[in-house]
Amino acid sequence: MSARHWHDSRWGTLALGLAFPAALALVWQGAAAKGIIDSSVWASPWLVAKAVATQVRDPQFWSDLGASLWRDAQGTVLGILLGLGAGLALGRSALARDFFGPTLDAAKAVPIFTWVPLLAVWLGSGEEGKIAFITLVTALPVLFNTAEGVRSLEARHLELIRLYHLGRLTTFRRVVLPGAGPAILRGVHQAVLFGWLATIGAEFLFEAGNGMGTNINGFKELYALDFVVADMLAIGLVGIIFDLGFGRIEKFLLRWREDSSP
Amino acid sequence: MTQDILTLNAVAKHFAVDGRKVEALRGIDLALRPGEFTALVGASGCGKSTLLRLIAGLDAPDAGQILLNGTQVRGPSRDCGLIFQDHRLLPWLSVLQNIELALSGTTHSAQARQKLSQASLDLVGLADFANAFPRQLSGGMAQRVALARGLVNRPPLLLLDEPFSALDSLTRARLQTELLRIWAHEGNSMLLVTHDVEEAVLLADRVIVLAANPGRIQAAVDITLPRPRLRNSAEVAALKTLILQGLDDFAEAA
Amino acid sequence: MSGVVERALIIQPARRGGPDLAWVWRLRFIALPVFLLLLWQISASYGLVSLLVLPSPLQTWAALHVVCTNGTVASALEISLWRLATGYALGVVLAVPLGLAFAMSPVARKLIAPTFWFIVRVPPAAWIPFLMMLFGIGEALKLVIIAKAVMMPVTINTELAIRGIPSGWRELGRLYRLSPWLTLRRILFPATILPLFTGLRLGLMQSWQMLIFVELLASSNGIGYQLTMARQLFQLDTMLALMVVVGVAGFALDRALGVVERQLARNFGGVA
Repeated sequence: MSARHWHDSRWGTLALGLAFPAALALVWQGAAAKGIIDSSVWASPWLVAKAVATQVRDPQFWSDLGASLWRDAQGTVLGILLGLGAGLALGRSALARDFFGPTLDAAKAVPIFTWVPLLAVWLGSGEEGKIAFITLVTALPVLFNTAEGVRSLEARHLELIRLYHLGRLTTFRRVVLPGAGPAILRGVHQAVLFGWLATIGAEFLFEAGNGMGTNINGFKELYALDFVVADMLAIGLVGIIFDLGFGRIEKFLLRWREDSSP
Repeated sequence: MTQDILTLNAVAKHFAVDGRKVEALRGIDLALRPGEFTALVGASGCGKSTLLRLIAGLDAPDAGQILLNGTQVRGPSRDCGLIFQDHRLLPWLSVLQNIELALSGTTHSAQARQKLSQASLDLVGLADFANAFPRQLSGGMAQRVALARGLVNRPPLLLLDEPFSALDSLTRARLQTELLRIWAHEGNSMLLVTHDVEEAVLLADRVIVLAANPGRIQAAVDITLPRPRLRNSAEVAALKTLILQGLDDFAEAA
Repeated sequence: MSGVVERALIIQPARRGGPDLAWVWRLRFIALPVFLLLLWQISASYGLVSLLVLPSPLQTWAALHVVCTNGTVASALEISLWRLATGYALGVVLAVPLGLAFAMSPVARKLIAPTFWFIVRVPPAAWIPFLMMLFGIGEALKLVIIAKAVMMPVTINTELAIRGIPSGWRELGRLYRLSPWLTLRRILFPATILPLFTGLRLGLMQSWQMLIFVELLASSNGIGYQLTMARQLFQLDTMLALMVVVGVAGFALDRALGVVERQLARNFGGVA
């Protein structure tokens, strides 16, 4: 059953993971070279590579990427803080849950993008509207996960609070926060990912400003598929760095858990 | 005669189960002397754990009085430690932090807390595991840490709720010896709830037998055998038989 | 017994208010919406907020009546839901075999999963210019975006469902020499249906989100387009009315799936 396969090593796994996109790129490049597809319309991996090289040297690209990241950071931090506060309150207070829970639950089923027109009218289509949208998108997963994590703290752990007369601060720092930790981190992880999706989304849905959304749309107008793909790769890479980076942080913070280390 | 450390007068408790009232304990009278090791045995469901939770102040009795050191119990107190059946260590705190938790709210400085916790950990023989997380401990080790946490406040009375029932028999035997050593060292009162009659006979000065439905005291047997007591000795076997018979007689009469 | 007693201890009902007011207390969950609605109407009545920025609830109600009776909602919803169904079906048809392949073949997983993961991690908004160049702003663009949204939850949950089957159960099938059909019917299907359905439900909610997104951004019909139109024409009462429609439709969709899930849990719950 547990015999080792050639693909079990790190390198084997890496090679396999790269094989598929490499094969796709080869087919694409071959089709373009043979003239099966028109490379002035459909570009080619080689053109995409050149576009990536051009973009990396273009200050406009970096300023657009920076603008998007800064926007993302503002909205996400605000959203996480709001979600955390509301989630803790909702998780600790049965009364708050009774009053707000059902409404929030119902609100979950409303597509988040539905709020975009309203935010645009109220806050304008500029920076405020975009950041408010990112805040909304990131606050919700943190709120729901935190509330659920705090609510489902184990009774046997909560009993220790009474038994040892723990103060409010100690209770929060030693029992509630770490006990709900896995759930809170799951929510924050989602928020970090959704925040980036929302940032790019907002740049399309609200009026154009600085940012990767504008950058990529500009190339679309020019019908430069190679640059559009290059931008997509950059945007996707940021998402993956967020994902992996936060995964690392999560693993470190949850190192006390049985399943988080060998 | 010195004052009793714990006195129970006509303590009663009932629960609502599916709208019906179920009597868990009826008319419990009990007195523990300082430094005495008492064991409470009974079949499962006889209310022994409920009784322990009342004494610890985690639940309140419906009738009767519980006096700890002459004052009525109104909630958990530092004078009374409690060891649960599961170790109940917080998995996200290190062993030492778990023990320090029991000292929070005391006037000790942070340094003193650490020293006291380490001393308590030394007492249970786990000095080297201060920085380990609970998941890295075996069941027996985790229960020792729980013991260290229960003892760190030096409570005059320590309640133990079937503390060894989840352990394998070898570990259980070792921890029983350990508990006696700690008791001799601390000189406090112990109240051990168990369904293991042999454990009760081996450890306690007095074994109190609880009957079920509703839970009430059926008999009290003084154990005057000198320590260390041998598991296989005839005296232990005889006492075991006596107590088990008492339990059986009652079960038939019910 | 002691277990029962301990549980009883936790569920002792908290009595609040007098017995005759108990029903009022039970309705507390609508307090928040009612309060917000009142606040909204009062602020509109006293002109605290300009009606240009926020029409009153009564205006919104009237607009809702109009869009529901003049056929706007019916025709837009028909288009949107049809679009949703097609894109969703496409996504599920692609995702379930992919999840199966990931679960059964480590090679297939290592070969395709990283690329799949990357594709999923690229925000949908970033895909839109690319897809627009390939497909224009026609129906294909929308279907691809919706299908992609379905694929991640469904693929992941399909894989988890298959992997989650305890190996002991499969051994049971071998031990009693069950036919493949009986193994599927008695072991594999009941063991996987719940986690599988979880993926399908998550996928539907994701695709509903993406439907609205893509219709807001690049569409000339559907409920999302109507919303954009109302915003551009500055008919805020109609816009709010349409938001209500989208919200109610999403809520209904979610609840309907919730009912199915509970039924499944009742039938196969011992398994999950």
